[in-house]
Amino acid sequence: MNKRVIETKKLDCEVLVVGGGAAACMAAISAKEQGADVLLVDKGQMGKSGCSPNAHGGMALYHKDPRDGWRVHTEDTLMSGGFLNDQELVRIMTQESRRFVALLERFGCLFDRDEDGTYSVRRFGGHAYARSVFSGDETGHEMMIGLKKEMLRLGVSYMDETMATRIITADGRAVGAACLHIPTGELYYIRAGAVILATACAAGIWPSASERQRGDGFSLALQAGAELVDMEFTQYHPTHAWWPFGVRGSVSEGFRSEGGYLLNSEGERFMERYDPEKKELATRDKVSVCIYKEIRAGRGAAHGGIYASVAHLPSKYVEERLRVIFRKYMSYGYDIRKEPIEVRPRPHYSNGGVKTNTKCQTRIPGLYAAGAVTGGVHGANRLGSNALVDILVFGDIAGREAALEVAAHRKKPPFNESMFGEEVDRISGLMARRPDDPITTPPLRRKHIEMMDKYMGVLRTEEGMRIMQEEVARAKEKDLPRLIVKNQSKVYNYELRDALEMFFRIDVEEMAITAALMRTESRGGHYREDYPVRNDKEWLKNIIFRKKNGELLFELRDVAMPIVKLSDLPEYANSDSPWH
Amino acid sequence: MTCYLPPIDKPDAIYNIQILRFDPEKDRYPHWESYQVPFVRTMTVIEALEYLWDQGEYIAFRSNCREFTCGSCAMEINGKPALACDTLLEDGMRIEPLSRFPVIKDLVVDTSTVPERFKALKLWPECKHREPATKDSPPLPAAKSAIEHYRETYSRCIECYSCLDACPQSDSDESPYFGPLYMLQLARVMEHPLDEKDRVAQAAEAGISHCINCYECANVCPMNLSPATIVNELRSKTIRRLDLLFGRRRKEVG
Ligand SMILES: Cc1cc2nc3c(=O)[nH]c(=O)nc-3n(C[C@H](O)[C@H](O)[C@H](O)COP(=O)(O)OP(=O)(O)OC[C@H]3O[C@@H](n4cnc5c(N)ncnc54)[C@H](O)[C@@H]3O)c2cc1C
Ligand code: FES
Repeated sequence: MNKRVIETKKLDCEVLVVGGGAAACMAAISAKEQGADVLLVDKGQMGKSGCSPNAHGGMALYHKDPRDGWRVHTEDTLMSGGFLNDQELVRIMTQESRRFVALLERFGCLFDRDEDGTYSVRRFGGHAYARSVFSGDETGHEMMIGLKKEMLRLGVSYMDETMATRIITADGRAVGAACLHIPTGELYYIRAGAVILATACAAGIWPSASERQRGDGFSLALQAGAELVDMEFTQYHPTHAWWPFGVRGSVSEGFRSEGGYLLNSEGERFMERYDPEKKELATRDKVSVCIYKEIRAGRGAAHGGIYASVAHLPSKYVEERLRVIFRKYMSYGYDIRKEPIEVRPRPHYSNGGVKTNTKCQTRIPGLYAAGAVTGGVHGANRLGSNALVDILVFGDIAGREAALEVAAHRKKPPFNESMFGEEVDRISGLMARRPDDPITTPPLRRKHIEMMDKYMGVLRTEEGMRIMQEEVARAKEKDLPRLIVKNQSKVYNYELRDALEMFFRIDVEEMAITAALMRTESRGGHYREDYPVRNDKEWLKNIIFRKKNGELLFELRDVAMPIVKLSDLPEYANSDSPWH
Repeated sequence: MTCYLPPIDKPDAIYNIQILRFDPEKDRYPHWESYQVPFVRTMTVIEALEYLWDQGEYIAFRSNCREFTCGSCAMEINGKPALACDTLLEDGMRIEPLSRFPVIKDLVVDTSTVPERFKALKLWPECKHREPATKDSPPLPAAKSAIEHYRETYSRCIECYSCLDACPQSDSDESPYFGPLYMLQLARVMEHPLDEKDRVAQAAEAGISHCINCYECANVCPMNLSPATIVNELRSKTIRRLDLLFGRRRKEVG
């Protein structure tokens, strides 16, 4: 049919790690420690890509207060997650996490100390105690330095700028992946005994603070036959930079936890009205909905956002404690010590994702997942600074378990030439085709980003979501088949990469909308104006997707509560508020 | 990676910028091309490049965080290395790849030797015996002020390679002087409580004496670090080391 315009190559390894953020590096390190022959492929550059290097705030893993401990941390996580969390995963995360701060320091990081030499901790919104260890305002950066150095120390093989486009399976097992090497345009067949997905989430399908998270892993897992859970829950970072123009990205939660105010156009600290107790430190979703409501009521800021101010805090304190944000604005000629900035909620994280068990295994043998690409740990809404903990703990488990499984099998999996051939044809076809009424990726992507913002944003309604649902179906049928790649270059063909991402995106949109329409209540990162309250009677359930013979199947599963029962937290149970 | 920019309906101005383009599949030499981009107050170079992507003009460049924490987007802007995401767009700007590294395509350069050198220099805490990390491991001994100093002086380095690009004494990997980035990284790991390796000897081996104290590295550092100051401190340590002076250097740098 199509001429094969792309070159192919083959590689072999025992454990293939897809991704290059903290979850991926941690997984690669722990698999290597077990003696496995590991290869890591990253769409960007290992250690510089993904969200991990720019997580500012902290990692919630140090229960310093004597009253604090894994159980309190678990309860906080569950209340934030609307009790939809997989409690076993939460238990593992809160019990195992503490070791990782010491581990990272052995890799070469150092985290902030108090005068007595113990770790300094910050308190984030929704956490009962201060438990987040940090390094100034650049925790993720410090963490990635250590992980990168440890990768080098152990001599883990990695390929930068290599994008997985399909998980290859044989007899129902994951046996490798097809990966596009962006510097040369070659498609690699990387054969592996086990594949670990650590490609982060899909926040970037919205106009997001985390643009580089394009949902690749969700689609890769779905196509491979794995299950995905809680796809309707999107976490909005309530304070995404909005004005001045050039400043994009999120204004970290540190801004509020260090004492920043949110103000409407009347200068009112409106969070006092919505949540007199927690105010700005209410959970992220709540703050997001409140900001949107203020904006809709006509009390938004001059450019359509809402004001955020630290002008009431001492200058020195702002410079020290909010260094990254301070400096960032300064470089645009904005002095946050004097002037308020404008912020607006923007998607930051997908709470849902690939469903895994306590060994990070998916439904497909040989396919593991760890980090932001997974769902279950955070339920309907992730607590700030729980992500860095999740990715370390489960990255470590995934690497170890995958290595152990490979060691137990030892036999190299067969090459599935026909499946790889299909992928070669798909990509060659995408490059070569010239339909009569072609479209290119940028306008289609722009349209979808804007529509997702409008109809699948913070405030959702049946009517709006139906419009989006129709658009997704239309795009799938009409647009994807005529999507073209004009640029025929082999070297750094970013247009091809973007086009491939477009296919991933449609899968993710479809799951998110289908689940959001189904869930007739509000909870965590899913707020419906037509069903504004939490309905525990009907909706203590997870919506789970999987694909079979090209068809998207879903299933509703009751939530299990083996550790904390709803009735253990009567105050929470008796409320019908979507957020804690 | 491309990102979503809100539509620019009413630009404050239209700017002309020049970009040095090179396509290894077509061109023998790099060549300048001009582009028109709409400008809105506080727009940066990276948004101009992303705007062009959105128009279907796929100029190759690396970026990720867009908030100067990943160090991917360094390029030469008006002849000086800078982060594209940290440089406000100006009319008539000339944008070209870092000159310290071989160009692959447009603004993308081959930096693969950096991690190789990191590895050769063993830039992780090297110690004979590393206690396993457990839940009960106490924090490594380090004072609050020491950690703050460490963070402000070294650890903030995002490895964007601007300092290497600016250094007149290290204009390629062939130069006897490795360059400021590596000296800073050596000094960084030297501060780590677990590190036992002779970093001063390594600095000498990596050609620290070639630094001419021009402070170009400090001038261009987007994180406001001063590799030059660090080089001076480290160099004074090498000078005090007789074994290094009398040439009893170890064979390998690692
Ligand atoms: C601005 C910001 C601030 C944050 N602050 C905090 C905080 O203070 N505390 C906290 O706990 N969390 C925070 N988070 C969240 C946290 O950073 C992320 O959830 C976490 O880093 C995700 O880690 P990861 O390793 O799973 O994914 P990432 O670090 O995002 O890495 C994903 C990797 O997958 C690669 N990839 C993607 N697709 C493919 C493909 N098809 N093939 C190959 N590779 C692919 C990417 O290149 C990337 O390397 C923050 C996030 C952001 C954006
Ligand atoms: S894009 Fe990360 S430093 Fe510029």
